Amino acid sequence: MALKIRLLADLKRQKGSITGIFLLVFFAAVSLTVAVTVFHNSGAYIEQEMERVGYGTFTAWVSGYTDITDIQSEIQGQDMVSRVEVQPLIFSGYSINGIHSDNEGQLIPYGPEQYDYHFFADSLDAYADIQGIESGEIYLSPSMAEGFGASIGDEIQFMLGRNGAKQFFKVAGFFEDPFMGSSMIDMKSFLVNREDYEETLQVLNTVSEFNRIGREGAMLHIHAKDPEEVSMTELNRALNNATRLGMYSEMTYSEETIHGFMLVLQNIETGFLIGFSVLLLVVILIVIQNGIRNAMIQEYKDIGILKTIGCTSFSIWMGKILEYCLPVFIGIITGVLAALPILRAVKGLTVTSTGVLIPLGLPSGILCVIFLALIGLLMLFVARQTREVTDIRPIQAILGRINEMPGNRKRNNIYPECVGLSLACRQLLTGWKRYMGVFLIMSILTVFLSVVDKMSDWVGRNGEGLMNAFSVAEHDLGVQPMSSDVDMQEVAELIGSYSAITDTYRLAMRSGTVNGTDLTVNVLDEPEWFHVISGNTAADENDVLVTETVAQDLGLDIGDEVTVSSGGGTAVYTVRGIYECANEMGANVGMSIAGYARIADTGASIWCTHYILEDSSRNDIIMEELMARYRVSADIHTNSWSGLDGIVRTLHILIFFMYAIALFIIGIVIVLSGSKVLGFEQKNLAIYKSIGYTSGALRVSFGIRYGMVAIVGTALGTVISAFAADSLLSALLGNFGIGDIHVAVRIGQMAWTAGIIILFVFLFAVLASGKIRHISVKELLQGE
Amino acid sequence: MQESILSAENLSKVFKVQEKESIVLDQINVEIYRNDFTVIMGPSGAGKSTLLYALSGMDSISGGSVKLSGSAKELHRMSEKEMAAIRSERFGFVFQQMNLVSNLTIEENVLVAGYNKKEKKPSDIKARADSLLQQLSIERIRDQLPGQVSGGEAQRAAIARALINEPDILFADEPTGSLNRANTMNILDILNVVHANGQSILMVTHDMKAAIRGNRILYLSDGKVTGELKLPKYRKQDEMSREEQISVWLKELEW
Repeated sequence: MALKIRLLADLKRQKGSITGIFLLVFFAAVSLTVAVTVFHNSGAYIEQEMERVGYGTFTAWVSGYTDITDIQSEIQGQDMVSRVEVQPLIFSGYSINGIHSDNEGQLIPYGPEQYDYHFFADSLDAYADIQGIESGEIYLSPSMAEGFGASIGDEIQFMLGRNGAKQFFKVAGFFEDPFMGSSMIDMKSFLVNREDYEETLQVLNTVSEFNRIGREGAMLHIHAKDPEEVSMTELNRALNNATRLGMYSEMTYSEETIHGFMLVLQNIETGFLIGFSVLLLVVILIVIQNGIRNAMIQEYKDIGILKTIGCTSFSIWMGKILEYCLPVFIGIITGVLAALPILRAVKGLTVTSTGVLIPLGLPSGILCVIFLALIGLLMLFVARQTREVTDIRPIQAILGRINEMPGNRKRNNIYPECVGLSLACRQLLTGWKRYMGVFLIMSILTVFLSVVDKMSDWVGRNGEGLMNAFSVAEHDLGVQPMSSDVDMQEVAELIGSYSAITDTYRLAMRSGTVNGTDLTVNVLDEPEWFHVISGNTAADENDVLVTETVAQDLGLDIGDEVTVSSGGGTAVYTVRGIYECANEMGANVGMSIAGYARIADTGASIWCTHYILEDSSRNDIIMEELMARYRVSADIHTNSWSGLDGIVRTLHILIFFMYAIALFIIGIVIVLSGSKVLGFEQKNLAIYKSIGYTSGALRVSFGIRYGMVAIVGTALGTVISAFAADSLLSALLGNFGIGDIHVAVRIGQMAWTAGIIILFVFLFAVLASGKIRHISVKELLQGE
Repeated sequence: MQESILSAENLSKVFKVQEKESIVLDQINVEIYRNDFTVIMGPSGAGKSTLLYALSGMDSISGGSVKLSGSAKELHRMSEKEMAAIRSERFGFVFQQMNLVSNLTIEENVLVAGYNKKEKKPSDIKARADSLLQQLSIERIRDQLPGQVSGGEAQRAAIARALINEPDILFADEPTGSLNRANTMNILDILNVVHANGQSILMVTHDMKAAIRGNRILYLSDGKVTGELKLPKYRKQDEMSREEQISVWLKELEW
C-alpha cells in the first residue's frame, strides 16, 4: 500500500518525464511492430505463395524449343532434380491505354487446377472469389495500376507481329503474382483464359517467323531433390552442362533471387523503420538516464525522509524501477495495439508497389521475444541508474544539499552587448551535464537524417540513382533496332532535334554462363562506362568485371580466372575489377566488345545504343516520338521502369516521414529536458525577473542555450555522417545488390539538415520555456 | 511638504482558499515619500510582506490602486514589459534570502542588473559596480560565486545589485532575517549610509533593532495601517532612545 501511494505520488511529480518516456516507447513499439510484422509476414507470405503457385528451386524462362516435353524429361532425368513442371506462356510486347511498355509481358493461361492464383477485390485491399476468367478478359498485377494507371475496363493490346497481328483484352481485375507483381520487376504476367491463350497462340503462329515479335515460351519450375544440400549455382551449372537448358533459357531465377526481388521494397522500408526504432531506443535510454538523474536531485531530501520513517532502501529502489518501467510496459502494449490499424493502412498502401497483400497477423512469438528483451534491457538500465537510492543516508539527505555547485571551471565573460547570449553560455558551461542527453540525441539525429538525406540524394528526384544502380551504365535513352530498317543516324537526328546528345555508347545484354552458372553478360563498346567499385575496368579483351554478388556467390576475387560462355563460344577471362549493377539482383558480369568478340558474334543486331542528353527532362517526349516511328522495329526505353514512380514516391514519403519523426523526437526531448532545467532554475529565473528581465528575453536566452547545444551536437553528427553515412547506407542497401554507395558530400545539404535541427531545437526550447511567463518574483520572497 | 513616490489608495488583497475569503490588506491608503526610510512593522500575519509585494507590483491586488510618481499608469495595470522596465530602472529589491544567481560571480550579479538598463553605457555601469563593491567592502570577493561567500557578504552583494541602477526606491523584505548579529548590524549600517545619501527605502521587519533604523514606521494590524511614527534620521548615539520611543509606541498599539 505504501509503495502504491509513493508510486502514484512519484508518477504525479514526474509526469512530464513519464509521459515523454511513454510516448517514445509507444512510437518505438509501433515502429518495431510494423517493421517486424511486414518483414516477417511478407517474407513468409512470398515463400508460401511461390510454393503454392508452383515455383521451383529455380525457374527457367525458355523459348525457341521444338518440344518442351523433351527438355522437361531431360532435366527431370538428372540426379539432383526431383521434378520439373511446365507452365506455358507467350512472351509479347504490350500497351495499355496507349502507353507502350518498354518490356515484354508474359501471357499465362489460367488453370486453377495447377496454378491457382489469388484475385484481388476491386478495392485491392482484399481477395475476391473469381471462379474463372471470361473470354476477352485479362487480369494483371496491381503494380500496373501504379505504373500504367491501368484500371478495370481498360484495353490491353498485345503486339504479336510486325505485320500488325495483335490481340486485345479488357482488364477485368487484378491478381497476385508472387514473382512479377512487384514494381521492382519490369516483366509482368497477365492471366487470360485457356481458350483466349490458345487463340493468341494461333494468331502468333500465323505470323511469319521473320515478322514475329511475340513468341511461345514456358516457365520450367525445376525442383531440386534436396534443396538444402545443393546450391542454385551448382544446380544451374550441372543442368547447363548435362542438358540443353542453356540453349533455350532466356533467364533463370532461383527461389532465393525471386524472394529477394519481391522483398526489395519491403526490406528497404522495414530497414529504415528498424533503424528508426534503434534510434528511438537510444533516445529512450538517454531520456530515462536524464530523467532519473534529475529526479534524484529533486527527490534527494524526500528519499532521506522516507528512510527516516522506516522505508527500506530496497522498497524505495523497487518503487523507482516501477516508476520508470510502468510507462515502458504501457507504451509497448499500446504501441502494439496502435500498430494494427497502421498495418492495415500499410497493407492497402503497398499493394500497388509490392503486388501482394501482406498478411496482417502479428508474428506474436518474434514480437514477444523482441519486446521481452527490450523490457529486460530497459529494466536493467533503470535498475542500474536508480541504484543510487540505496546509498543515500537519511540525515545527510535531510541536512545536506545535493544541488550541484557551479565549479571553478573557466567561465565565459558576460558581455553587455549580448547579455542573453552570454547568460546562455554561462548556463551551458556551468551545468553542461544537464545538456549531455540533448547533445547526444542531436548528434544521433543528425547522423540519422544525413543517412536519410543521402538516401534521398541517391534516389534522386525522379529515381535516377535507383535506376543507375540497376543499370549497367548511366543513360537517358536506349534504342535497340530489331530490324535493319532502323537507320540509327536518323534516330540520332530525331533525338538531337529535341536535345543535344552529349555522349553515346553501345550496350549488349546477352545471356551466358560464368563457370557454368547462368548470368547476364553486359558488353560495352566503351568499358569505362561501367560503375567500377574496385580494381580496373575491363579494357582488355581478356578482362571481365563481376558484381559483388557474383564475386560472393562464385567465390571470385580480382585476378581470378573464370570461364565465360555466351552466344555459342567459351573463353577464359581474368577478373579485372568489381563493378556495380543491381540488375538481376546483381547476377551479371561485364566486358568490352573486344572481350565478347572472343566468344560470340558482335553483329549489329545485339546492340542497344545509349544516349546521354543535355536536357534529360525531354526523355519522355523523345521516347514518344521514337515509339511512334519505330514501335515495331526497335526496342526503345528510358532509364526508368514502369514501377519506378511508385517506388520513388514510396521512398520520398518514407523520407518525409523520417523527417517528421525526427522533429517529433526533438520536440519531446526538448520539452522533457527543458521542463527539468526550468524546474532547477526557477529561482534564478525569478531573480532575473526581479531585476527587470522580461519573460520574452529569458525565453529567447533559454532557446539560445538549447540552440547552442544543438549546434555542437549537429556539428559532431555532421562530422560523423561525413565519414560514415555512405557506409551506413551501403550496409542498408547491400543486401539488394547495391553495395557501394558514394554520394558526394554536399555542404549545403548538410548545413540545411543541421540548420533544421538547430532551428527546431531553438523553437521547441522557446515554446517549452512558456512556463517562464508564470514564474513569479514572489518565489523569492519570504511569505508571512 | 514631502514628495510622494508611491501612493496606495483603498489597496486590498483578499486570498480565497476553498471558497473561504481571507482579507489580508483591507482598503489601505498609504503614501511612501522620497528620501524616507520607511519601515513596516506588525505582528505575524498582519500583512506586512503582502503590503510590500503589493506596493512593489510583485503581486496582484484585489482592489484599489498603487501609483508610482512620474508614471501615468497604475502599477497593476502595467504590462509585463512595462513592469520589467520599472523593476530595472526605478525599483531595487533586497530579500531575506539573498537570491543571487548561483552561477554568476558577485560582480556579475551586480553587472547583469546594470546591463539590463539599456540607455546606460557599459563603462559607466562597470564604474558604478566597482564603486558599490568598494563602498560595501566586497571588492575582494568580486570573482567568487555566491556559494563561496558568507551570508553577510552575499547580502551586501544583493544590496549592490539593487542599487546599481540608482533606483527611486529600495524594497527590503526582512533583509537581516537570515543573518547573524554582526552581519545584521553591518547590513543595517549600510542601509543607513545609502539612506543618508538620499536613497528612499521601504523595509519590512519585525526586528526592533532593524526598525529603529527608519525615520518613519508604519504599524500594520489585521490588514490595516493602524499607526504611524515619525522619527528623526538615524544616529548611532540615539539608538537607545529610539528603541524606547518605538517600544512605547508599540505598547500603545497593543503589540
